[in-house]
Amino acid sequence: MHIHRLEKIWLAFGLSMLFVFLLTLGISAFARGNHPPSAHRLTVDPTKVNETAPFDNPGVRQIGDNEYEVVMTAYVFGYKPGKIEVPAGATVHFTVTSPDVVHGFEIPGTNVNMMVVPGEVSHMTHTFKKAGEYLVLCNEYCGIGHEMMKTVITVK
Amino acid sequence: MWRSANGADGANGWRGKPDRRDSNEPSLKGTFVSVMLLGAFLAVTWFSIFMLFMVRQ
Repeated sequence: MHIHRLEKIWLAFGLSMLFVFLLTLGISAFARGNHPPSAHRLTVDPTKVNETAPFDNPGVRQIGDNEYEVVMTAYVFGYKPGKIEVPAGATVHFTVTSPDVVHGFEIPGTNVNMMVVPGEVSHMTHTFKKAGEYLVLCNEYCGIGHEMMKTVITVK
Repeated sequence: MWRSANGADGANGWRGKPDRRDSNEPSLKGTFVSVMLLGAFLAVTWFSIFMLFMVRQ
């Protein structure tokens, strides 16, 4: 089969681009462990969130050297716990679910942006390198008070 | 057009294999430039979004 010389060049270019994209994706997923917030099989009965561990006691727990787990519930129209404080440089593992409707959990300026679905437990890890106040907001329309739904993470 | 060896043209007819880059092949320069521009656009946007992801980690 005869292929035009220029055609060979653009086919090689396209294939190498595809190879680089897939390689990056593979390294990110398998070597660095980046997964979507829903990449697991953890579920919770959405009608019993407030009685089910760990959501019966939402809060900040230290689990290692400057490493914290934050268990949260996103409800109409707020987040529990309302106050979160971690030191600068802390790696925080968020575990979030909803007892009512679909909510969002976004920290603008970071990669933390997940959907909080009733019955599903969403996970996300972020390292807060700089001190400051980080806004957490809901970016899924959840009802009449949606625009009021926010909280602040204080990094000291 | 090239002619067959046993054609009526005799000695002048057969000139061996035709040149691959003969005038019948379409010019793909314009297509090549368009494809490369599209490819460059895809690569630039992909890498800028990837760098944004890495910076925000």
